[in-house]
Amino acid sequence: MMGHVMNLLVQFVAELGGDETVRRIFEAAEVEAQEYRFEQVYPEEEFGALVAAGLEVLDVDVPTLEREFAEYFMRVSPELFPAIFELSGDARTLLKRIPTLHRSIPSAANRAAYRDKLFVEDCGEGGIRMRYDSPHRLCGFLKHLTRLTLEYYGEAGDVHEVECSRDGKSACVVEVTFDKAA
Amino acid sequence: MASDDLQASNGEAELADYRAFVQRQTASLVRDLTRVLFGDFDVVLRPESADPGFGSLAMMTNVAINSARNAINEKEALLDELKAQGAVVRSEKAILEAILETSDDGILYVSKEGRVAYANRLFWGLTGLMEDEHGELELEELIENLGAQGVSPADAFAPVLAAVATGAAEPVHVRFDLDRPAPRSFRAIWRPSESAVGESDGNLLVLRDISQVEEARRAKDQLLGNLAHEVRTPLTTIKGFVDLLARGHLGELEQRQAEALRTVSKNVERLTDLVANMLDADRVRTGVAKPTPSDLESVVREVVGNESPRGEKRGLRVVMRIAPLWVLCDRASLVQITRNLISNAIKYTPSGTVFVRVASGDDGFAELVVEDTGIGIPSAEIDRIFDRFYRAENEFVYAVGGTGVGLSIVKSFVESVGGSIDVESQPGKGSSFRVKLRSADGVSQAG
Repeated sequence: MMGHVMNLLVQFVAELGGDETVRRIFEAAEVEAQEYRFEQVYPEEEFGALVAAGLEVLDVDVPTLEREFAEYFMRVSPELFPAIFELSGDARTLLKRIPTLHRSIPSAANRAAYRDKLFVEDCGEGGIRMRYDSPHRLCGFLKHLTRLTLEYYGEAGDVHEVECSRDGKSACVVEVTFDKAA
Repeated sequence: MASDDLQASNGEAELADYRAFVQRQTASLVRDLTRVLFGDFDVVLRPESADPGFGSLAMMTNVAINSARNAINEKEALLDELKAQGAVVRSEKAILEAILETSDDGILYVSKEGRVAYANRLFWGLTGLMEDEHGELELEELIENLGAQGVSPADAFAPVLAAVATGAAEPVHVRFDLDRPAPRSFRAIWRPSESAVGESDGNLLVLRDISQVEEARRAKDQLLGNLAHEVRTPLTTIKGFVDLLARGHLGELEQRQAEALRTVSKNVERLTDLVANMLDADRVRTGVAKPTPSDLESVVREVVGNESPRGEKRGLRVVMRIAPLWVLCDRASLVQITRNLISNAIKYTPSGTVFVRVASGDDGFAELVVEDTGIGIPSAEIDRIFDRFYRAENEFVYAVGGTGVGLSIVKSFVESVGGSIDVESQPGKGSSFRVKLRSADGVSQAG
């Protein structure tokens, strides 16, 4: 998992419960407290342990954590990367660029450890089709982020999960259609 | 406003201006670099002023972008070249596949790791094996599975497996039959395949269905056999009357008539020999020797007595060293074996000696050795001398005449009673044929 996402998760927890909550989460996850490096790729197990510890310490369920974290993520990302949001210009372009952006982040030294988890296919008039293949199965987080992206650009559309790994499928598939009138 | 206050106020304003400048420059840089991230390598960073820090940063960033663009261009050019080469390879592969799939031969390619890597459809069709079940088998497993098709080809493929085990570079020829999916005869050649740089790259097995050839050969043999039988009766009559005429029983002949009759007689003899050989060949096809006890010593003495006069006319000596041994081979076949070997030795030895030895081996076999000081056999031809109708490429051999079936008959008879034959020869020095037949010691000699 990319250090950037892990750092955002820690910052999100810090905003919710302060430094003490962050400490408890690291402790519950049995992970050394640290600031994650933006360009570093960390073991998926470590991210999984942080998420599990977050659910336990914050006493929330998975959908709540996914929703709240997505809200935080979309609040801080345009501030961190204004040019990306500005130059993309619309939700469709930004969503299509996400896999490229993900692949651009890991440094050359640890690029081999990086694995694509999101694949975006442009279906023309049919919108886009996103395939999310992650051991963490946080497809709810993806769907919230997608809806918030539409909202950021003031667009209307539909975000619909047609396949879910929690139902035994090999990956989650989310289809996004864009309302032309918006 | 006091002077100090004014200065402080001016300083704060300058600082605020500089902060704003830095923010604008930074935002501009981030924006330009984001364009690069999205694939726009034509971006050129232009600082707002000649600030040395931002100027250097912009210059070095432009250099880095140019380097990245050049590297990408090179890789794209390489990629285009690879794509073009890939298209050529795909085209050549398509041609090769078309050739392989329309070949009249079954073709199997076995990787250097010993696994079936490719086989054309005809290979699967001829062998009756299913591609999806055998496509990635090891060669040994494939050969084993061929056994399910009726006749175990394991023995036939033993030389192939030996070649695989030793990494032999020479082609190996094998022949085998299958009962299923249809009775068929095959000839196969196994040869190493080399990569473009001459390294061993696996092996090819080319499988040819010779069922029709074998059928044609059988038909030809049958025709020759029938023909020989049909010709023998009138030939015997002709020979009888020629003898009567020659002996004067049908009246005295004039000198010219006698000379003409000698020519007729000589050619009738040749024709009789030819028919006898054809009948022997037919006998090989239709029958085999029987493992009944026979007196090898008496057979050899009888044959030498009959054959040696032909050599003695040329001053050739036939030397015998014969042990009193019985062997398991019916007498008629034993006479045939012995006569063909001794007759050949005499025919192909212009001068010198023919040695005939019979001795007991210590492995339950008796040995008949016929050795000569004749023309010998070239090493390249020695593997073929037991083939039917094979005759060495030699003027002397052609001058002597013959059908080329004698040694094939010997081999067939010897092997049919569990014996063996081998030969050693040196061109110009002579040949030595060694026949091993099972000894009849302890077996009733009444038969």
